[in-house]
Amino acid sequence: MTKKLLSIFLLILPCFAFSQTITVRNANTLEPLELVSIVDATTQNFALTDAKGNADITSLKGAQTLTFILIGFERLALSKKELQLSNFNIVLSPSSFPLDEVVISTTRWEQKVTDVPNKITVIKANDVKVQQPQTTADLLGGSGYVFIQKSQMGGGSPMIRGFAANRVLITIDGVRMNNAIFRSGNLQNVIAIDPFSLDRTEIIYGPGSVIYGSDALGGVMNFSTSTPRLSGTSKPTINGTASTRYSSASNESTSHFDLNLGFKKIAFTTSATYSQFDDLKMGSNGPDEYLRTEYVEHINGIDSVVSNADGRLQKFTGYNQLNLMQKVFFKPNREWTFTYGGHYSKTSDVPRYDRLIEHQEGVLKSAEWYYGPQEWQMHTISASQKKHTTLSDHMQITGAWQRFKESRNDRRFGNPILRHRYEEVQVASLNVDLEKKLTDKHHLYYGAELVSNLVGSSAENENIETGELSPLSTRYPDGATWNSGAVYATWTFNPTEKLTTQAGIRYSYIDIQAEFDSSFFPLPISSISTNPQALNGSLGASYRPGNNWIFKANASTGFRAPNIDDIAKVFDSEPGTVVVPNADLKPEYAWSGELGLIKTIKERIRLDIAGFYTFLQDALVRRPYEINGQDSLIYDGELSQVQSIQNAAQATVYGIQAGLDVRFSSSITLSSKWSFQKGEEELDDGSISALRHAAPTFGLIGLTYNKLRFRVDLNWKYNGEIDHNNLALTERDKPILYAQDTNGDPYSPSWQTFNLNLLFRASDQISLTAGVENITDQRYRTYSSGITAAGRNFLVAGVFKF
Amino acid sequence: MADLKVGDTIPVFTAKNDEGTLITINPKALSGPKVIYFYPKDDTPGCTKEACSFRDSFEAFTDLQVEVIGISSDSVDSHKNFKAKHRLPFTLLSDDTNAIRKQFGVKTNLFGLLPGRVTYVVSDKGTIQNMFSSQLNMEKHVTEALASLKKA
Repeated sequence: MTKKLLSIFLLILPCFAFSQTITVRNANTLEPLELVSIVDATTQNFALTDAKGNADITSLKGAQTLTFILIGFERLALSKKELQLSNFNIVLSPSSFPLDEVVISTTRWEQKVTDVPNKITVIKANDVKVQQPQTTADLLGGSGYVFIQKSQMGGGSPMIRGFAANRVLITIDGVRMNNAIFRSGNLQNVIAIDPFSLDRTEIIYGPGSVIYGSDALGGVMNFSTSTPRLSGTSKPTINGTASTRYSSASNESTSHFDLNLGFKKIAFTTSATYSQFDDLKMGSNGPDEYLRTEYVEHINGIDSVVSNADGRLQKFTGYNQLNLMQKVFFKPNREWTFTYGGHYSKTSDVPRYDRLIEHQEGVLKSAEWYYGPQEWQMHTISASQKKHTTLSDHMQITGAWQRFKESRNDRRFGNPILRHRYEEVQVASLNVDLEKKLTDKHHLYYGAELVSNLVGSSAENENIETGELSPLSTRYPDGATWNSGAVYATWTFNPTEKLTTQAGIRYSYIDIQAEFDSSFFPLPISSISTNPQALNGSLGASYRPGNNWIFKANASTGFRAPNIDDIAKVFDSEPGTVVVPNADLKPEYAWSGELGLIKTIKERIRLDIAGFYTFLQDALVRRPYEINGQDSLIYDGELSQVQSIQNAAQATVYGIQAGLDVRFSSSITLSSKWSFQKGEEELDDGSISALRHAAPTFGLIGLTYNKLRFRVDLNWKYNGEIDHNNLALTERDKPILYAQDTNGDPYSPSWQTFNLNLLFRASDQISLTAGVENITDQRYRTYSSGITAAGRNFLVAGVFKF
Repeated sequence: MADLKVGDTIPVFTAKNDEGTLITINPKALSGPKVIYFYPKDDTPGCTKEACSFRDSFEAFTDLQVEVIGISSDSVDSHKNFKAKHRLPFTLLSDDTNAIRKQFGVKTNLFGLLPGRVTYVVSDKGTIQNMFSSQLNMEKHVTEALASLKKA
């Protein structure tokens, strides 16, 4: 009788069982897992879990075995019976060192990270939740391999492998953000990207010009914003996040909200973030040179130097920022998908702190110096087709329009004239990318890119006493254009399962036009029309001989075409120097080689080392120049040396990036990242100087405990010293940024911070974070930065998921 | 047609104004000096700013007995609405086939997505006294045109 009952039970149970939902969670933390594929291997039917880890598996009711697959987790296959015994609550264990990680940056298409010949790091949305970065620059810094310089709090200029600013490339959803006025000096455009809106960030180290074109010399930072999720069934889904954060050092308050509305074929994601920062307080223990002892206030119509009651409080650093994103995803059938992405970011005025602390003849030089609101918007429409045709298996077309607005505003101490220089850049671009599997061993990725930049530039003097406006020279020639067209292809060949080789080539044609306004300066040329071209390539291999070894090698060339900022900028880049246009510029080329190895030992230890060497040829650098036989001219009332950007120099940079991960147990891990880079550039007189954007040795070591409701992160961040003799000559000229050594010369001291972060998962819906950063209250500046970093910082954050 | 430059005579052209009436501009039979400005599109932020600047300085132009004419590829109806919405006191011409734009040789930007924004100051004899091209500095079209008229 019992046996009979049991067989009836077993017969009925599957029908009963399959009418209900299955829930998949992380075995370690019991957090719901999204996007787990639940596959019936026999029929290839599958279901996906939603944000709550739930999936309706009705369509899989005939399956004898179900396999649960999620990248980064051990694969789990369960029989019908096992499924029933689990009560439909499944847990997946995180893989020790996932080898099935997929990256998209090297070819614009999905590739296994183990097959790719370059070093790549991936930062995921969950890392944002844990790290709680204040800006996307801080998020990049958290990777451990990207160095972040800050001239002001609303700043953050990434340095990668000895290059920065317009020698590294930023892309968002595959569209280049680097525009025609990206300068060689530090840039803050990356902060326009909202870390909360990111699904993942991939950083390719070394040249990425074959796929991404100009500027990808030191590396490519490829930001992918979150894609709206379909419901997958006729029942719509709605979920989202609301979060808030407070941190003490800048009295920061940040609020974020996102919402995903998913239907069967169309889905919408809306995201909004607002951050407000007060003036930043530095730490107690460090050089006194960094203190903000005084500042300028305009009192009763007179510029007055005011003594700062608290020298650690960096007066005039606070700002605020709004980020909005709207995306729409439409999948009418299995073949096509369409995505719209709208992004908007705007800051308040951002005071340029490093200029506000500059002295001239013992007195603060500027009464005011601020960037006007930095505004960026981007609208993209992309269509993706998955169909086997002669040309491709998968095709993607993306059209984008971007608009950047920025301004520089400054007024000398005691001078009523406030100078305003406004820039606006509009960029239209079109990318067509195709992927074709030629045979089982051969794969072709190819495409074309068109980019058009239009630069608007205007300027005026404002007399703050009378309100009178008067003309002022613009920073760039108004109406200048920078257009480029390129074709590229990458071919991969897997001769055996152990070896992947990859070769790529790109041809780019650039058209630059600018007309100069000669009403302010007797410039030697009235217009520029130039058409630089660039041919570059890459060759690489990944070899996986077994025993958990992976060897990687690649050689590639990257290029940076001159842009409007190089060719046509007229402004006092530094006191006493004026930069004039140079029509004869060619692209600069980086020749780079990289060797890497990854070794995993007993699933517990993973070592990842990459060494690189880059030679920069025809480097675009600023050098003395002559204009009508004169090497100096009066500019803005000051006798200034004439300079221009020229293909005048060579530079080399080499270094090592090393990572070590140790898994002591399923819940206790250690992660260490270390970067060493040394760069040199040749000067006009043949002497050698340290390369300006080669950061000091830096790294971090983090210990993580992650189990059930708690995650505890303790990390140690450290930076080496750059002594005076090893400081780039251009940096020695900016003593205001540096501490003084015993001889009174500027140098960049070493520093270290200890940071503790605690994450408490109160429920599936609510998580809370509390942290202390810079526990020992160090007073330090990251290399080349104008602003002193935050002192001891207490942080609390809460996330509510619904 | 080559791009027109300072000193050239403007071509003869015909287009419908914002009331739908066909009018012809003949350089040999001008009623007085003109400011002819080409702009990308009615009721977009930049063009509204530019048109409103011309409106706000309209008196200065009439004092100099100069007629202001705006030209874009928008329809007569669109012009009519744009004019009413922003109370524009000057004529808008509908160059729906971009024929006039081509006659003047007004360039486009961003792969043709953005039609050029150019202002011509034309004497009563039909010659171009001054021209100003800036896609993104809307108000400067007005100040440059006025400055050049005052100089003349």
